[in-house]
Amino acid sequence: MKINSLLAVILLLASCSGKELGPDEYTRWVENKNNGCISEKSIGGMQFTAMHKPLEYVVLKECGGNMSLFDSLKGDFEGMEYYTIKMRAESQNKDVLLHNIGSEQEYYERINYYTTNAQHDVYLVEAGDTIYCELYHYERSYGVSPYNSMLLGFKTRPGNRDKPAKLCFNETVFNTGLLLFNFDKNNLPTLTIN
Amino acid sequence: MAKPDKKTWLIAGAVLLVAAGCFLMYQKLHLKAAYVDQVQLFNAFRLKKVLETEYQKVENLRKQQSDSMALGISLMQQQARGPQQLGYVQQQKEYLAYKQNEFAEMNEQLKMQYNEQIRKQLNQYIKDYALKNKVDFLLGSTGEGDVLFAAERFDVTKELIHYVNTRFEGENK
Repeated sequence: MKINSLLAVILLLASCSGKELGPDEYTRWVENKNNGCISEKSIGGMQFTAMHKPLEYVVLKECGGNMSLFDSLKGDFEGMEYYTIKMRAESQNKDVLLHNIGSEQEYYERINYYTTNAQHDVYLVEAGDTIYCELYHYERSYGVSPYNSMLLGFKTRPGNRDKPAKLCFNETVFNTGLLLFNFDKNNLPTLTIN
Repeated sequence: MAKPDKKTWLIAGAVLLVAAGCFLMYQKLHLKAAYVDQVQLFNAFRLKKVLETEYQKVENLRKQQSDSMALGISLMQQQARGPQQLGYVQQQKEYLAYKQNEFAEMNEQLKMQYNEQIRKQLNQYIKDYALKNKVDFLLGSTGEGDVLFAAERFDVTKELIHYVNTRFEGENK
């Protein structure tokens, strides 16, 4: 009887710590700054927010609530690790690329850099491997939001996907320099879909 | 044992009030100060080491390029015959001088760019450290008399070096 009770308690504890979350809870968990998927740096008036987006999170966002698409979309997105770097100037609420701008030409040079060249200044260090960015998209806000984002995809080894990773961005437009963001990735919850 | 009377309670309350007041005054008036060896901090900052290595690589590549141009010109000079060839050698020498100047300027620019990056990140982490540890004054010493004397217990150099490097390596505040 005693052993049975003990087993019941252990099972109860295990089910609580296993962190199985439904789609909405899962999304909220990833977006919660305290859970380790978001890392921030504020340097010299610029704020950089890096986010590790687990595969399930990316697929959930793509599904847009239609869970029947989940499996096929998961197949499409598998094989890569996804991250986002958002940036904004703390002193202004307009387009970040206008921060400390000298001329109109400089603005277009900045856009050109972020849309075409910044990809080469971002890399991921994971389990001793340096992985360069293979999927890159620069998302402009056109002044609607102070944030501009870089959406990043890295082809990593399947065995390393739950290992700690360091996202490195050599930021040169605002001359902030090398920015490093750590992600533990070892406490991700499991997504449950009914 | 007799129960404390009203007077005793009043005295105890007054003592407590005075103690709380003293504590609040102490908190308000007590300023926390610390000092740091700036040279040691700067040299131990990991970004500085990373960029120093990067700078050395670029400088060496440019030097190799200008050295190999100089060697080529000196060989050309030894083999040059007639005014046309000597004129060409002269042109190449001028071009080399132009390139060497350009490299020197580019090296200087790169050094400035890297120094700014180090300064920006270091200043931010120092500020974050002071705010986190509620330090009111953080004095920087270069060992040249800017801080005439400070007791060793106020020296936070090692702690700050550890903090700035962990922050640089990607740890959150």
